[in-house]
Amino acid sequence: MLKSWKLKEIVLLAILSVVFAVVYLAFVHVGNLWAGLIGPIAYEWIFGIWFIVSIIAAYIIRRPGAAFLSEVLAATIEMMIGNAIGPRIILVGIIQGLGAEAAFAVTGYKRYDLWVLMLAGFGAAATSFAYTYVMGGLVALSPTYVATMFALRATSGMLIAGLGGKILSDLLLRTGALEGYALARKGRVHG
Amino acid sequence: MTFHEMNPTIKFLTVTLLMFGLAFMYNPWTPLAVFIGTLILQILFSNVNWKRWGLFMIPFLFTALGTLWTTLVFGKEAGGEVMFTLFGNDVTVENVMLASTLSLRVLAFTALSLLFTLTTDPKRFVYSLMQQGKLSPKIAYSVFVGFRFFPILKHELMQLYETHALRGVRLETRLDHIRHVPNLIIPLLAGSIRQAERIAFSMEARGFTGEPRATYEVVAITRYDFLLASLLIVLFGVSVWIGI
Amino acid sequence: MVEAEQLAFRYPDKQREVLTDITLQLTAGRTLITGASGSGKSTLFSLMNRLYPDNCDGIVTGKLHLFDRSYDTYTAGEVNRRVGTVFQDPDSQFVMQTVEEELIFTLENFAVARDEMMARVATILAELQLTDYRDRVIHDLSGGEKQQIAVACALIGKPEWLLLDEPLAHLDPETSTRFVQWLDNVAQTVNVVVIEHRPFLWGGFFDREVELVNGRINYDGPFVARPDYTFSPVKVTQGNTVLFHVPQLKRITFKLAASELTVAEGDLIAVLGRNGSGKSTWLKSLAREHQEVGLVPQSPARLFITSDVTRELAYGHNRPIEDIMNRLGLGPFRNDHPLSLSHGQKRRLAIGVMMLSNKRLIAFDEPTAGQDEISLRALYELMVERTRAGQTVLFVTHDLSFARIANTYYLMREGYLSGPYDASLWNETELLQAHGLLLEES
Ligand SMILES: Nc1ncnc2c1ncn2[C@@H]1O[C@H](COP(=O)(O)OP(=O)(O)OP(=O)(O)O)[C@@H](O)[C@H]1O
Ligand SMILES: Nc1ncnc2c1ncn2[C@@H]1O[C@H](COP(=O)(O)OP(=O)(O)OP(=O)(O)O)[C@@H](O)[C@H]1O
Ligand SMILES: [Mg+2]
Ligand SMILES: [Mg+2]
Repeated sequence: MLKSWKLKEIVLLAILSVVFAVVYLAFVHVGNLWAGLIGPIAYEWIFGIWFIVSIIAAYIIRRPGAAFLSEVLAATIEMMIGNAIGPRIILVGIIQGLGAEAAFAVTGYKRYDLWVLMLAGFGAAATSFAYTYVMGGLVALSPTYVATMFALRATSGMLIAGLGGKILSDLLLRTGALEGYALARKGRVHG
Repeated sequence: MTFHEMNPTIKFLTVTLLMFGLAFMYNPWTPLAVFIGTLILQILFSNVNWKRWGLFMIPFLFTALGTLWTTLVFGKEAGGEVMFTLFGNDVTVENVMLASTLSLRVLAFTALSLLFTLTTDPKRFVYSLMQQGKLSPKIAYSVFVGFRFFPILKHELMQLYETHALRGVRLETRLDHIRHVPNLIIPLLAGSIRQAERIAFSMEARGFTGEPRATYEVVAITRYDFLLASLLIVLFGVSVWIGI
Repeated sequence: MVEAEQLAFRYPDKQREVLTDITLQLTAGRTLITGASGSGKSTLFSLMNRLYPDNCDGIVTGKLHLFDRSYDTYTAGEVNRRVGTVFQDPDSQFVMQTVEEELIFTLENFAVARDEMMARVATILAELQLTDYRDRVIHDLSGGEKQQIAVACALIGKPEWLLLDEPLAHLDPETSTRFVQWLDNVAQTVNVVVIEHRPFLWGGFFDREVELVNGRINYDGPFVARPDYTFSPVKVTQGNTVLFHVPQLKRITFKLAASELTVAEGDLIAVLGRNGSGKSTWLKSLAREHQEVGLVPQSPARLFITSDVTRELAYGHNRPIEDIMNRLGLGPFRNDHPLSLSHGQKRRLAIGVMMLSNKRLIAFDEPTAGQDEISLRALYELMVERTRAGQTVLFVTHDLSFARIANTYYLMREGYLSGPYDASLWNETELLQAHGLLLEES
């Protein structure tokens, strides 16, 4: 899979993962405090934060695997810099990454419009929710409560990760720093 | 023979395996036993900084509590004798068992995680993933570059403040500095992206091709690794047995 | 090694070609590449070590062969095992954290046997007199120190070819003399291509010279030695004096002593000293302590905050910018992104930005590094104008020919600033030697 990637694309992916690993970790702590008060549902509406690197990496680099790999790397780095969820977080990353990646795969890695990005946010929300359901033992909770949780998470995934990721990347594009990557290439007229 | 010296990949796999197993145990005793057992192993075979351990543990105590009472209040209707009523929800014995299972599970997960994180050097982990786990060197070295970025990011941020000061942005108080942060985020990210690109160039210019390679740092596998892994697995087996 | 025929190259975001109709055969030996700032020298280097066009989506036409194979048949990093490169920008050519790690990384790429590595690291550091830096964090080194480490990294792999992009630009006079002598010995076994604006510093080192003008080869033939440029001192009229105070500053491996600086309005001051003596640290403290000080840092790109040259120059004031823009040779690039300029151009843009500020004291950290003579003349004129207008101009440089323009001198040594001196400084051999400005005769 990585054969056709340029080294600088992989390094960019790693840097994005590092940056967002820090952000992710910060939000874990925010969420944790909340969660102590109002239970696991506290995480749901900010859950999109934890998918954002997938969307940004895929949108900028536009290669198969970017969404998946960035999320897994971010999770791994998050673990190493001190997320006490530990190795499990990598599994979470894999699952969320697959969810986001699916959206890009379905569109043949050809389209990176807003709706595809939002779909990716939704995909990550869906797979990650399935995981929470099993590991967090949500069977124990009432179905309406579970449904509310899911609705919140999906919306958050689409807005924070999908829309937010696009806005952030477009702002970065304007600085000229993405000149050598696929996102900038798309907008350039060759002649 | 300590967890610090243990091969990180093997340690990682064992700990993950245990966590997975735990997810399928629905009685409070297994996670409790794993929690206590992990602590004992950690005391025996590693040099723990308990202050750090405690610091990492605190947020998860909150989570465990949150889980406990959510499961009690929003728990599914379950048969059995009602013990007490909480916010209008009838709480049965089964509810209580389940709630304590889930919150103890949070604690057991955390103890296992800390066993891994507090005894693993990130760099060594990546080297081991590359050497034993067949991780692509391109990714491994990109992650090293990523690690190098923590100090760089901090430095870049200070640099940005200096740049803005030189270009006439006046920030007098600490509050001014904090208020200025949103104006720095995009330049900070953009700067990091440019740095990343140049580092990639340098790697290539140094002859890095991304093929499997020899490294100076060698992370070996010894029989102690298997010994420690078996200890953890035995711990899990015993805990399951306690639960029955 | 390089065989090019009618080679042309264009950056994807630019209209014009930067290299046109290049026909060049690089053969074993020592080649000098000269040409005005922005003429495409660094770009040519990046084609020679195959970083381009792959990494910038640039457009190549014509023939380009590296070691008898077309450039596009190589995989990334492959040719670089035979061709070592030292880039122009000392700040951005490292991968790992410490000097030792960086050197080992290179050896790993070259598949050197594990038990040989440490010995090789020790040898190269000893040869370049850099042993003390072995465990230092690269990021914290001074500009010149970084450049020396970059050379060590390029050489440790024992490449067949060595590409050096202005390797002396940030070195103090003593270190650069020593470096050229050392390379003269090493280059018995390695072929060298050097980009340099001051061939004078290299004595009789080269046997061939290629000159680029606007992306075309203007001259290709035997190297002809020529004297260094000369500058004459500026006559200044000193106004009121101002006192600046720089506090003491401690770093792990370095201590900057507190210093007081009394400067006269309209004075032109040069600060000289060895690599790592603390000049940049001192300047940064000075600017941090006093709002009326404007500073162009040693890495000028740090100053940029907008996305094109015009806006960069016009930012934060409403004085006219055309004149300065043209005199610094930036007119044709008015719409370009500041960070897409050549290194010399970036530095000139940063200089322009500060020239337009109305700070009481404008300080330049190595404004001369990587500049061609025309740019230096422009810099000279602008500095003179600023002092006439009553501003004080202060600059740090390793270029002793340019330093002659100053009226007042300060010397920096191991964190201690001494001075002021006047032009009679140039006769004080011992003082000059003690500050790395003259190589002790051995
Ligand atoms: N990454 C880039 N993207 C777009 N244009 C570039 C880029 N790098 C350089 N250029 C342009 O190409 C031209 C040649 O640049 P190059 O860096 O090769 O010059 P140079 O001869 O090395 O100059 P200097 O002596 O100042 O270093 C310049 O006009 C510059 O604006
Ligand atoms: N952030 C830092 N942490 C630790 N040491 C530092 C740091 N910055 C600089 N140094 C050290 O302080 C010394 C002075 O550095 P400085 O950049 O001021 O030197 P300089 O005189 O400007 O050298 P050059 O001529 O090479 O630019 C150097 O030895 C450098 O390695
Ligand atoms: Mg150049
Ligand atoms: Mg300096």
